[in-house]
Amino acid sequence: MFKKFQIYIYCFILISISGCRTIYDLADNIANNFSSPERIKNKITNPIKENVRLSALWVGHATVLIQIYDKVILTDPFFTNNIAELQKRIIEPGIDLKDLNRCDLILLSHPHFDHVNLGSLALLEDKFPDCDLVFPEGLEEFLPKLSFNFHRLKCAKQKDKIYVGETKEINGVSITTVAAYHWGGRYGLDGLIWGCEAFTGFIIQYKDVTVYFSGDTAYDNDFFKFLGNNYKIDIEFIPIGPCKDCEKLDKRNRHVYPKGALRILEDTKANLMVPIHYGTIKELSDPNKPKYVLEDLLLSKPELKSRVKILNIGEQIIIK
Amino acid sequence: MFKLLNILAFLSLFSFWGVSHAQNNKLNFLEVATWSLIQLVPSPAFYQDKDNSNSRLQFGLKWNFTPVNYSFNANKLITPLQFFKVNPMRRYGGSVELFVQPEWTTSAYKYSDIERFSISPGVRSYIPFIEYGEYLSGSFGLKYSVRKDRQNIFNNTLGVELGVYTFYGIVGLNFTYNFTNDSKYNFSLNLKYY
Repeated sequence: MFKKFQIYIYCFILISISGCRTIYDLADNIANNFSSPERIKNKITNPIKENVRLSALWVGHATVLIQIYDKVILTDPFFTNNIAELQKRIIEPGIDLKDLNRCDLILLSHPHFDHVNLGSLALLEDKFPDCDLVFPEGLEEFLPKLSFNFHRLKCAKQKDKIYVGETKEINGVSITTVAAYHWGGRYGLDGLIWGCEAFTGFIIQYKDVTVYFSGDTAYDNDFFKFLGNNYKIDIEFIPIGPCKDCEKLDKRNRHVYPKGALRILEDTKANLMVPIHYGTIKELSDPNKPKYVLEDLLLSKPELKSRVKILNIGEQIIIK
Repeated sequence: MFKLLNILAFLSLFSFWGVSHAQNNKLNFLEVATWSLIQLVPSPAFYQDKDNSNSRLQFGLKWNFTPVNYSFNANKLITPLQFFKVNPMRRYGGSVELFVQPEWTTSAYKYSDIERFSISPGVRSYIPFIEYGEYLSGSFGLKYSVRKDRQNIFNNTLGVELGVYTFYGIVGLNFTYNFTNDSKYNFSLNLKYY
């Protein structure tokens, strides 16, 4: 009896692990889970400042703490130690949540695990239960019951070259959903086959400041020029990873790579671009490779160098 | 075997129809078709096979269909009630559901006086443990297994089950205790997507 039982088990395990990338990643990350993320020295303990026009602190991955005058905005918050149980955080968040004493808006760009991190939302809910949560239409399918004020905004229809979805004034801040070239869903097929199109970029406007948070996006020839012609962007946050073939412009409907990010900067005519979405979680390739490629590219494009600010995780930039 | 295929085909078609009609109109054919196909992926299971003096494990397969699920964790913008195709967020985040579970052993029971095939309707409740149940959740449930013995007489039994699930509910372990002497317990590796 035991022999037969063993054969069944072995067969099942063999079938399961053969060709299953997830199993390899899981095994790798189980080992990694015994190590702690790299610590950040001299973390900023007062990220919200008085008399600031615009500041941005890169918390890691796609999480940026943006302060525009008296408004504090968090993008795609990720404060926990792993994503989807598989991808481990390699460096701790750029701020401790205990040091964050205000949060007016949380923006969620799309439902992927690295952008809608439920553990982080739970932590933020405990601290800021009445915060406004802004997300594209369709993402509500992947949100649990939370105490935040929900704001569901229509997505742009980039396939029809309609680049603006909806503008809504929330807590005094004007939020506009704009096109993104990515894919939606959370559990795989819902985005890949079943057509969940809950993904967006955001234009954030408050007083005289305009910020562009692109979410995850690939490059498009027309859209970013449209942004450049219609918005005077003070600062933009563009993802540059993960990338395997980092020298390419982008991966279609996935992510823009460093070269594409610089092209976006040229098209949008933003005053400043901050690259994000790299160096935070364990990737198949070096998580910091996009940064190195971007630094190399900037050597050959000195005219853009002053308009790109590569932040370290936990570093804050204050713009007068 | 034909009985099993017939029932699976019926449940798949019923699910297909149910998903098409009960959910919103946004669903397209590709979505319903792929989802229905995925539901046909079985979960491997082991069933106790025993008589008064012998006991062994019998390998089998089981499927799980959910005619209706009510989520306690649905936010105010979405319906807590789902039919057949249940978003993992709502199922494993805390919910109660009615299920239908066809079960089939790959060969005949050697000692137990029961047929290879059974179908078990039941009710199950999910409790989230970590990350709203996406990382880890548990379940407990009650099911009523309808099956025949070798004399072709119904030998139905009540069972209670416990489960733990991870990876957004895609993988889980499930243990059932049956109130019968023919096959007191079974356990399975649950595979479920939506």
